[in-house]
Amino acid sequence: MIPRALFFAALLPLSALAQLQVFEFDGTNDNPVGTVVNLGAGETRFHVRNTGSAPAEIDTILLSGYDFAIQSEPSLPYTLAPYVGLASEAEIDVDFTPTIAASYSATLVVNTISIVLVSAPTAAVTLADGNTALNTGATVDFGSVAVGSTKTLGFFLSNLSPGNIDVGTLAVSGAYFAGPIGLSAPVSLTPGQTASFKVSFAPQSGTLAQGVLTVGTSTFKLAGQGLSQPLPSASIVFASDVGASAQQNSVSIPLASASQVTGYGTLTLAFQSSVTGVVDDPAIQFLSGPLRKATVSIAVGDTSAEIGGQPSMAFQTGATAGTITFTLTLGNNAPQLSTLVIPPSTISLDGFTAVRKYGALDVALSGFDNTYSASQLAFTFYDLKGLPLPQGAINVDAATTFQQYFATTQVGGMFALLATFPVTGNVTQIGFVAAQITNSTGSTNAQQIPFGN
Amino acid sequence: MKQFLIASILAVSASAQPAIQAPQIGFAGQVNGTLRPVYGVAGSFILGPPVASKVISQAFSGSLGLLKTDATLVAFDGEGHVFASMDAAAGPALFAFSPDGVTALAYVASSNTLVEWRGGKFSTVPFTPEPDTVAAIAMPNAFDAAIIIDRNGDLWESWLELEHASVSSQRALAGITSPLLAQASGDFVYGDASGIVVRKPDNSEVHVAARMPAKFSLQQMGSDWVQLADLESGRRFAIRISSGHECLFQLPEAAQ
Repeated sequence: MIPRALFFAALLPLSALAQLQVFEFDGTNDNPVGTVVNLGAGETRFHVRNTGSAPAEIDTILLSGYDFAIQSEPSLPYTLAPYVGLASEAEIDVDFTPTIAASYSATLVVNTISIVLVSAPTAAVTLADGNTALNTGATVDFGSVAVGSTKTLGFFLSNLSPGNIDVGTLAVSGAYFAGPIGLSAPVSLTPGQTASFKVSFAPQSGTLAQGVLTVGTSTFKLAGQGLSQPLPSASIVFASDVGASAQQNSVSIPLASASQVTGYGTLTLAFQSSVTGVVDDPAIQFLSGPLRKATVSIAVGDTSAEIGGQPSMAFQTGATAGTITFTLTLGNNAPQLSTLVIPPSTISLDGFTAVRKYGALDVALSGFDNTYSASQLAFTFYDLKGLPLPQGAINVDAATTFQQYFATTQVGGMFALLATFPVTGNVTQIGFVAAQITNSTGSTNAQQIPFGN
Repeated sequence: MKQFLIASILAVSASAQPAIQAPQIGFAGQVNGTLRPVYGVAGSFILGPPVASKVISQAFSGSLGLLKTDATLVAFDGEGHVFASMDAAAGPALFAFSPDGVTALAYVASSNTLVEWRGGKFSTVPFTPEPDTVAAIAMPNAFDAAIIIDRNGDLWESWLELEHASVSSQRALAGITSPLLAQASGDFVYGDASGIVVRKPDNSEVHVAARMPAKFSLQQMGSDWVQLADLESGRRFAIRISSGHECLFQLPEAAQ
């Protein structure tokens, strides 16, 4: 009985040993491993399965090899139930972080199962302005780069091993990082051969950016800080600072210094009438694009902003007294205002014609009254020698007519007036007419003009 | 004694209340092919709603307008209402108005045809200009036409009697360049390196400083106004040509 028991006791470890099998786990499937496993940089996951029908014990897990390390393993001794699925397996995670470009090997032992882990030689990655090869997983810092600018770093890819190296993957990922520039995979390097490429960083926001450079099985972290430099201070400048109605003027936006960044914004035009009861004047507008809102853009190096795609934007001041306000909104800067005051003025006459008709005279005036208060008209007629007719000036109170007109017109303070005067006698003996028109700020005289037929 | 007699028989009565309306400068063609009335005074312009579309060429005398679409010649009034229309060959046209602005001529280049608007109707003038040479036309009076011919870069003015459809005289127009606009008054409007030139019948010139577009056209837009169209940027300008008030303004773009 005792010898039989000893016999079984001696056999039990052998039985348990035969039940264990090691697999490489790719995240989805278990793949049986032989005595040698090729692995790349980073983590490799191994699963240990009990293929027998009775529990088995893992009492030994050993890893030897430079730059290899066990990341996780079961607490020993560990009893492994017969395999019924992934959950019944034990997992051993091995990390391989090569510090130099070379061939590596290590040995993983699970109880009495021995597996040789080997890594093919990898290309050394060196910054163009450095001498030391980057460790896998190292961070390449692009530093702080202004938004809108680009910083480019050069890299060398070198074969320091005695055999050829084929780099199957050369890639850059991550927002604002771009590359590889100047080299694309696959890359074959003979012993001692070097290839170069570049990676660029062009941040579009003032945030920390991160990316990854992948060279073969090695990865390197990319980092860069976007720097939102402020736009240079801008000012609103008018071609003419004279505020008056019926003027075509232009506005430009010079910058205090050449811009280091791009910027966008808007320049809006608003009008506050100073005439009671008058809300707006449609003639006050930009002369290109949308009537009262223009896009503003600044490119790197600009010393003045473009308005609606032009160095300056023309506008007209209409025919109503008030204040024209320009508001510049640029980037995150506080809105900037500039105003052009249009003061009330006497009536401005733009056209003055006089025509003889049969038994009557037509006198036509055109112009604008930016106070909307035109009232008294006075016409003085002259004979062919330029002497005034003895009857003197003819006065017309047109206040009501003007008020009715201004209440409904869509053209601001602009008007065209036609006055017809019946004539007793020979109309051809009347040679000239002069006119005076009055509003709340004073009178305007239209100089003597001759009659036409 | 004579002065007293004139005074006693010549008297101007007070006017009734004057008529007041929006001042209209004329009509302007837009880059999108619409034709819009232009209201305002010098330096302050407002475009009215479109009165025609698909317009290739247009002109307005102050009381009469002519426009050309691809296949039609149209006469219209100051409110944009159509007087009459006729079929016409494709392409642009040149226009001219008599001094009173009620008689007009149209020249359709593609058919080398001169059409007259007189008495409220169109009729073809039995005259064939030298093809591909007409740079401008004018109507110095209701019975004559001035055909401005471009002969290898030299401009000539041929005087045409409309009734007989015959050329009565011609003269060289030294120093004037195409494109140009010939006015009934005898004025020529054209451009040079420094801006707009208005040449008067006595050969005196008024220069309006302007940065001239590389390619432009000139059209009469009102009795005292000429429209300059920048054919590259699409911008439209108004040139005031009334004597002593010559100046250049930018016209607003239609509301977007």
